[in-house]
Amino acid sequence: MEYCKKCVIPQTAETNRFDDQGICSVCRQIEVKDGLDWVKREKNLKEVIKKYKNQNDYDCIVPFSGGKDSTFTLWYLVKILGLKVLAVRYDHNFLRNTLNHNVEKTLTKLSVDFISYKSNFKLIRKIMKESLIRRGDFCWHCHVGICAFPINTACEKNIPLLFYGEPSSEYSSYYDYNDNEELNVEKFNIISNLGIQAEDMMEMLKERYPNEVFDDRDFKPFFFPSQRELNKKKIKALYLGSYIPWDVKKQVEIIKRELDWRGESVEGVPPEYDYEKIECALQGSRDYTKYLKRGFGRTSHLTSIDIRNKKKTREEAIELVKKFDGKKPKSLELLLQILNISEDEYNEIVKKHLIYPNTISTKKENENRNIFHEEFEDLKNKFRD
Amino acid sequence: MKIGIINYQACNLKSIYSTVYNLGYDPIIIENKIDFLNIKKIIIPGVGSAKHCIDYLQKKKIFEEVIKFKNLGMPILGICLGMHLFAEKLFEHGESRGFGFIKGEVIPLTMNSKFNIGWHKLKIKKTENRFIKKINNDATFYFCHSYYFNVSQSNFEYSIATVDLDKEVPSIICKDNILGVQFHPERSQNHGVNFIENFIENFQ
Repeated sequence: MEYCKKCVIPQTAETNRFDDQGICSVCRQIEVKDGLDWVKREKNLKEVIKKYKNQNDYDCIVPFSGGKDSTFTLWYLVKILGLKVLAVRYDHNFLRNTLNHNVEKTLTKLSVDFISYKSNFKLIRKIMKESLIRRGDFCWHCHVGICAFPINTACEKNIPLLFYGEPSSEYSSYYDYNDNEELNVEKFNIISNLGIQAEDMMEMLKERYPNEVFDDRDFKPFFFPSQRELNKKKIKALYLGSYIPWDVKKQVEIIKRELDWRGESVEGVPPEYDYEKIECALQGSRDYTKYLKRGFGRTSHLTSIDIRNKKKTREEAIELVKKFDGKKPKSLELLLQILNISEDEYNEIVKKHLIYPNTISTKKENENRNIFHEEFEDLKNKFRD
Repeated sequence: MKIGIINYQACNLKSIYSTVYNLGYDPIIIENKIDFLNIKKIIIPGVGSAKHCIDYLQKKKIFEEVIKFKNLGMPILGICLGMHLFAEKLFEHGESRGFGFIKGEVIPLTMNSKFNIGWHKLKIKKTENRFIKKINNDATFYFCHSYYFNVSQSNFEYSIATVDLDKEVPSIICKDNILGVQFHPERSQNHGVNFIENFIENFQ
């Protein structure tokens, strides 16, 4: 397998292209980031805000999981720009304890109104299985929910401005820093929904479970508005990172200091990155599935960001990757319990989604850190039939 | 806002209809005189041959309605053949008479190739016009034509952008409430969508 000569991302990563010097497109995108006119971009942000401020019940919506990016975004918009913000969350069912504490603290300290939505678990577990079988990715409901729910809320409540945090050019090449990245129908269909619309998912489930009755209304939260509706209501879903330089480490320091936001350990992630992906109990299994398919996990992704930002050498990154990527996580048991399949069945499904030239290694090491034992047992009981 | 799209039974209505619809406006297909009611702006699509198009519009009495619409000061966007109709004379499949809004004739391309099919950047003249200033200088647009608008010397000022083929050919013509484009914004991806939105929002 070919790896980027600068970071540690292999050729199986989605959208990363390699140039003549063997350097991947995401590394190249980040190289130009410093040279961009950030003063002008910040001015543009102020102009956008001016247009939308004090027009409706809220100045904007922040889709808010409580993770590092959305917490920083919320803090920045409330404290630095002085906006009246509505925080909107799609709850994927697997939120972790520390994350929930952080959310409570953040909302209280910033005095922000908050809406959270969770769709019924019976449906979610069927969607997860279908999504794993068809795409090798069990997170369709979350990918779609975090986009569709805040946008639908914006349409319903007539709050046309939304701010997501991290722009996708930080880690993939669908968009680069010179594109005007917005969450619209095009982006939703290219990136978020894995090529499966809500109505597709509905029909897929009806086909897979012919003896069960599905209520079409249950799928409503997963419908994304039409581009006509978005344009008519002048909905703008922007990324704060398109206007101010996105520096995760600095931002984590700020939210830890200002909001008492706490990090947490995550399966397959070195302890120094305690701020990353702390929102989902199944994160370790998601990253493990990706490792089986593409041959790299969360540590490759995180250390690569550090290499690009000159905070780690490639050698240091390789050491960490060897130590943490690809270990079978404890949470896989929980995932298998939810999907109601055996590990062999899971492996068979994932094998069908293997990305060339990666091969599935037969040697499987277990994650030997028992990082969230009590929480894990709680979740197992919660999702037991 | 109701946007009229003229149907002359040859043009690519659907792509223009969808662009206008998805932008959040209300497209109305104009097939008869009566369809002009409450229309705020008109788009004349551009696929087909000049003679057939003009004969059809004359027969349906749409031809004179467009002239009335123009005289009321209402904005009109002509795309490709739609722009060619603004000329005095057209020579595609026989000679025919256009609206005569802008002095000039529509004649075949006489370069190495008889066709210009593909994507080009525009050469836009410097202007203070709010609508023109909003057109992205780096944008490329899709062209597909074998005739072009040979603007008369006396009306040269109205050709506000050109496209560099073997010779410079007008790509945007703008006079008062009349806007003509040689390229196809409805086939030009995001830049084309932005162009049509700019026409609807800012062109007076």
